[in-house]
Amino acid sequence: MEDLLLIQGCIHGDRNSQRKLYEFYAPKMMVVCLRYSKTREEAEEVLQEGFIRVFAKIEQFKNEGSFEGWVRKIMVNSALQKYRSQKKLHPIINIEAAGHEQADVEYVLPQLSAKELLGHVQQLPPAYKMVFNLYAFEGMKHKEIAELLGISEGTSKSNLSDARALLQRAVTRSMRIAKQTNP
Amino acid sequence: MDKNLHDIDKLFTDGIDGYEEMPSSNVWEGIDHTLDKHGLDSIKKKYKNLKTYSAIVITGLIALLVYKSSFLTKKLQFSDSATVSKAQVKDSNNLKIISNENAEAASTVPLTKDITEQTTVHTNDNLVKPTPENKEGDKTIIQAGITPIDNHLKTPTPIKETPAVKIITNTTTNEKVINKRHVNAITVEQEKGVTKTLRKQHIENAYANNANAINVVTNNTNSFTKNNQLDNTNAIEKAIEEAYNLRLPQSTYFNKAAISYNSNQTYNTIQLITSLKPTISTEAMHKKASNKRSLAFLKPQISIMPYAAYESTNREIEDNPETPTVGMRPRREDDWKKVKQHEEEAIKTPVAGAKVEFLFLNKVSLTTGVGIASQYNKIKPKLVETELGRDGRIRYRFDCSAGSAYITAKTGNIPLIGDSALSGSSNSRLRYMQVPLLAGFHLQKNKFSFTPFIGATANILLDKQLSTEITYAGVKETQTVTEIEGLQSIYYTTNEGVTIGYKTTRRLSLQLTPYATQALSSMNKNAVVKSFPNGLGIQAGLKINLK
Repeated sequence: MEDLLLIQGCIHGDRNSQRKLYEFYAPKMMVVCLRYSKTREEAEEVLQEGFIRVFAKIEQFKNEGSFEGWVRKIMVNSALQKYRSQKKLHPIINIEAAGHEQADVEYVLPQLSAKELLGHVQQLPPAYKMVFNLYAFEGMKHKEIAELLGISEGTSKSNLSDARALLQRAVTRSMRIAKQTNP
Repeated sequence: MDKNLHDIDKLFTDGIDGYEEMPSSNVWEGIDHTLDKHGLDSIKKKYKNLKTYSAIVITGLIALLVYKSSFLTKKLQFSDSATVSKAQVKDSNNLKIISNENAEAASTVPLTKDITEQTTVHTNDNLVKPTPENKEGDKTIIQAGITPIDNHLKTPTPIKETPAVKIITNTTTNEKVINKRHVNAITVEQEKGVTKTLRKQHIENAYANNANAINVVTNNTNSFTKNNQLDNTNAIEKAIEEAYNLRLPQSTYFNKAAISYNSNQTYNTIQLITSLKPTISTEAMHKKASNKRSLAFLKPQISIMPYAAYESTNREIEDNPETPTVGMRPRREDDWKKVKQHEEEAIKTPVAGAKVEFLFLNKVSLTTGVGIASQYNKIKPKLVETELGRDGRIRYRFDCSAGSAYITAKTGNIPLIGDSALSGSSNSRLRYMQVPLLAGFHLQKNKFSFTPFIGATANILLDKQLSTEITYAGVKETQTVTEIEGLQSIYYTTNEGVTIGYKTTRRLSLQLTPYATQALSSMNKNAVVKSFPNGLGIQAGLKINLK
């Protein structure tokens, strides 16, 4: 109910309502943006851009589905736009190509903090990061991801596989470091 | 492994899910600032339409006001005759006309209301001073700037009579030039019962009879007075307005006005006195028109003509005694003779380009344009000798009418000084950009046209090439060199010929041009020879008239 009131206020351009809405959703959306960005600064840029779009298009929200989901979609789109613009300026060269080497076959216990896990995602090469985020977090299919990113389905699958492998390695390394530090 | 990899998805989604992180305060500041800007933009958008409509309405109102006020500034027609000589004036009807100097107004016809008898006319010239008995009497408001006598409206008393007809002289010194409009004859009589047409007739008659002053009779003098003084400008303006309405043809100046009243104050007369000079001289008008005609001369008919041509060129070869050396060695007397005597076949020169023609007064044409000409020169087999170049290399030197080319032996033994080789049938190609400037005289007979012309062309070197088959020490090589030394970057030729045209449509005509060219300057410099290309050619094109 409170959400609806805030939304109404935002539609009428009430700054207070806008601020409150921002303060409510910003922490969650910041994490979404961090997942798609390499640095915190980049994530904040995406977040800012995303919220500006939210307030500009808030009239278009039709109460179909959750407002949070709607805002999240806008954030993801903003992140994708930034990715596309960066791709044009600087061709993404995946120097950390994971290849298809065998990852450690070691079941990694979920002992890492959210912040650490987020950090690992951020460290992925941009192309892998996009695919992994869209697949794992947004639940999109490879066909949809391929269309969105302008790649083939095969590339999407390959990138996902590489992303997972990289994450697996990163997590394993972290676990080893953690064990060494705290035996 | 697959399970692990899929589990990695779950690891990350479960691990990050629910995690929150607060962004820095800069983010909201940025959003806040952008929303302010957006807010302004939305306000601007909101009122944009309103502003647009308001602007349209205001513009419309202004236009209407301008239109209304421009009523008095409409142009009037001129007539050529603006002379009014001094003569007696007659009027047949309700128009009081004042004749000019030394004439008697013998035929003034009283106005219907007998204003003549009761009207006193006062001007600068003969200001009637109030007598004691009519101190309170008729107030005659005279020309602006002159103190009125009294306010006649309050005390209507009989006034001193003066002759109804006033002889007015021309005054040129105080002319008030009404030049903000094309002034025409001004005479208005606004008496009741007198139609506009009739008024016009009277006035025209009056002018025909050389009137130089016309009375404006009106019931309403308010518009001609200001602070109880005659508003000269206003009176004249009003009269001009009426003259425009009547579409009177003549133009005149008005330098004086006087107003007088009859004793009953039922009719008032504005007397406008002319200076008999047109506001705009017809002479000036004619001059302007003839200037326009003469300027038409400067507007040519323009046509473009894409064309193709074929020239057969011969190069006249002369000695070039200014060249002290030939390559690295001193020049010998027979160097140039070797080139001259070694016959070269006539050079084939295909040309393609486009021309622009400017035709003035349908007679004189000036043509320019751009064409690309390729001179293909076939050279018979000849012996070529080696020469030490400035770079220390020994190469075969090939001389021709264009210049000198150096051929490097690619295979076999390096030649020595004094060696020679046989060069088979060789071809040189020189490509030039031609920029002509031609003057012609255009003759048209029905659909055919003949334009003999003469002019000059600048030939600008674009590229050069020599291909030859050289045989030395048992080795045969085909070589193409793109460097021919001794060519000028530009040389000039004359062009003369005749263009025969056939008009197929209003805008298109087929053109055929036989022509001749002669070199005005040599195409070489610092070469063994001076070559002067002369030739005959035939050009065909399609002329398109743009105007």
